[in-house]
Amino acid sequence: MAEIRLEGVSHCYEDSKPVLKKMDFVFEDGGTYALLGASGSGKSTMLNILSGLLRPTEGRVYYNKRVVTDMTPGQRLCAQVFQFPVVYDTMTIAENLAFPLLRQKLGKKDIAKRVTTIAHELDLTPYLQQKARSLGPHLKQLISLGRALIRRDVKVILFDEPLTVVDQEKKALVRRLLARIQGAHPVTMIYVTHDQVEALSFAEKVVVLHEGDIMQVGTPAELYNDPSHAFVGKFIGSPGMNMIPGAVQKGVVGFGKTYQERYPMAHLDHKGPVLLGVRPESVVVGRAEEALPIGGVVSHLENHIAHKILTVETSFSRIAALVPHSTNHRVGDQVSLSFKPEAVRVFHPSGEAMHG
Amino acid sequence: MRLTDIVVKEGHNSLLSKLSLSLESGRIHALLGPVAAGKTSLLRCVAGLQPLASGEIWLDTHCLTKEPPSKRGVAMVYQQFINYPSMSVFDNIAAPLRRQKISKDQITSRVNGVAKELDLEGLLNRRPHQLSGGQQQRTALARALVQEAKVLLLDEPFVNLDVNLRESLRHTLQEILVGRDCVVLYATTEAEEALILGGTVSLLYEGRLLQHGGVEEVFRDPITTSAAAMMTSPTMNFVEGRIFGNHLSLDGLSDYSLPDHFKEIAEGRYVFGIRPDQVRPSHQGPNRGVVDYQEVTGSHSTTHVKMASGGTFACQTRGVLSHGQGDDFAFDFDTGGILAFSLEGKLVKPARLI
Repeated sequence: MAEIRLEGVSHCYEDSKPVLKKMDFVFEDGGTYALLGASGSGKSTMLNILSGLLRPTEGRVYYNKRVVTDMTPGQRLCAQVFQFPVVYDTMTIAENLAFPLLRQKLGKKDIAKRVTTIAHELDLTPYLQQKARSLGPHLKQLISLGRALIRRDVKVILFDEPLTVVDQEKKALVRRLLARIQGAHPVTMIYVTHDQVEALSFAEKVVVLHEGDIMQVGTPAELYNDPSHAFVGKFIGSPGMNMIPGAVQKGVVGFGKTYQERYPMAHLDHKGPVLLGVRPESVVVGRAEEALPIGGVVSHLENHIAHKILTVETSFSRIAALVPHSTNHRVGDQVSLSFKPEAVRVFHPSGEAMHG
Repeated sequence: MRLTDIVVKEGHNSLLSKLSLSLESGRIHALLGPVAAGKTSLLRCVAGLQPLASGEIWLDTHCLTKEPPSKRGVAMVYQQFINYPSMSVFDNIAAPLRRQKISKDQITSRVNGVAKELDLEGLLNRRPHQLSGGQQQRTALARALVQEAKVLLLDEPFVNLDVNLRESLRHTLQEILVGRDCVVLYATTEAEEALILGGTVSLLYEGRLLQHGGVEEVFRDPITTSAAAMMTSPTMNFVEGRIFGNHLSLDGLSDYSLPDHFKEIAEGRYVFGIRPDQVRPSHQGPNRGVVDYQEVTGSHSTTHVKMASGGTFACQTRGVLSHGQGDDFAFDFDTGGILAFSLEGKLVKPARLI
């Protein structure tokens, strides 16, 4: 196992602006992490610095107090699962799994035992004697993972978008196996993805990256319930958090150009311009006659499996609301809205969360 | 567009078996099924890229079956972002028009029109490699739309994009396509996507059509357990059980009093279908198991619960829960939305949605 520490790390490619801005960060020993961000957020650069495929322009990388900045992935005892499976097509699954052990001084019996254990853990037992070439991409990715897990000396496993080539319907199966191996192995796992489903399902802690900066680090529930930045609120959740510009004064929020629409929220003790962050499931939709504080018109309606999503146009913003299937709003209906007060989050107009 | 008794073979395998469909213009028709269900084969048949062993394809009064692809008036968008790398976005979009006898002014005006609809106006001078994935796919879509084809085929067009981008592109697609004089076929592996698109859905499995209809209707009343499994995600919980007197007894789960919508059903054994979104955690139980694993999808968490009987049960809740593997988990569900199927898997009585 290893604690990984980044100290003053930043990175620039040639003379361009930094793709990773100066950061200090600790990945705790044995933790499972996801690095989540869109393309260009710096997540792959960060991963390559962690693995040793890339030397950062500035700063140091530590594995357990030891500086490893100039070491190769092999020297760091760091295994990787890449976007595309790396397997020997002409070997059987058993031979593929055993391969990393051949260079170690292990008896045949020990190797066979290890292969059996790992194959069982990854549901690969039925395929052990098949050639890798005959298998689908999700099984090949599981072999790649198995080859990382089988080595007892590996301290860190890094995953670089490992589900990219996996068929949509097999993704859940692989996610399930990834959940199963957590805690069962004494390694630190770091998983890079642009997909919030993968990140939030895999990791104990998610690191959200945006334009080379760490926006927030937290458990999936923390990121979802208390985003520290409007970006995180919008990025996580489907659809993301509504961000509604307004201004607060004496427990009343004003919306619109001249703040003419008024919404009492006694519990807010902020003052001045804000962004109100409200998750779509925390928007209450009533009929127009119910005269909830905000009036609007339904402009779009989408059926989902567990609910419907209404888009409501108000005079000052477009608001997404999640409603049960039993409701019968139609496009063009006049509706009125309120927000569940305990679920409202307040952000500076620049995006940072306000606290207290 | 009418497809009648389409059969496609590859060697001795049937890729499509006697498939018939009738599709109107102005709506988006989802083809839903797992990998290798026949979705792409069907699209290729319509495009003229896949020879039929038998069957016919008609567009209004025009028989397409023997027409070459170029004469069919069909446009297609693929999963992969396919554009001409050496051409600007403008030229990429204009390419199909340049093969026709259309004046330069008209080409410019049509390209600009489509670019506006797809929010590509500011990017027309760029090359594909300077675009993000979403922009590349919008370019491919624009090239398909600019042809004003009578038939538009979309083969999992957004599967390689981020969740947030997919949401906005699906929205755009609906705005542009609904009501247009064009038959739109959209292949997907995701039930949620078919529902969002809001038109009709055809459930395909191993080259056969399991069910076709308005997507809400198929979602509400799937005619078989296979259709029900395909039309929910995470997949529906199926439990055998028995209706007797005023009781609903579910194997491995608690007994419930018989919900109203089952009162007309004969006593006996059935397979019951319970959608994960109707299951909720409940401290009092009455059903108990142990957390196997948990997934967070969009704005929901799905907890897969291992039952004493050995099976698993999926429970979907709003927001992000954090249960660890092995935690005790108690749950309950509303019986008003349960579906009943015969032991052979046929829907017994349309359920009522709650």
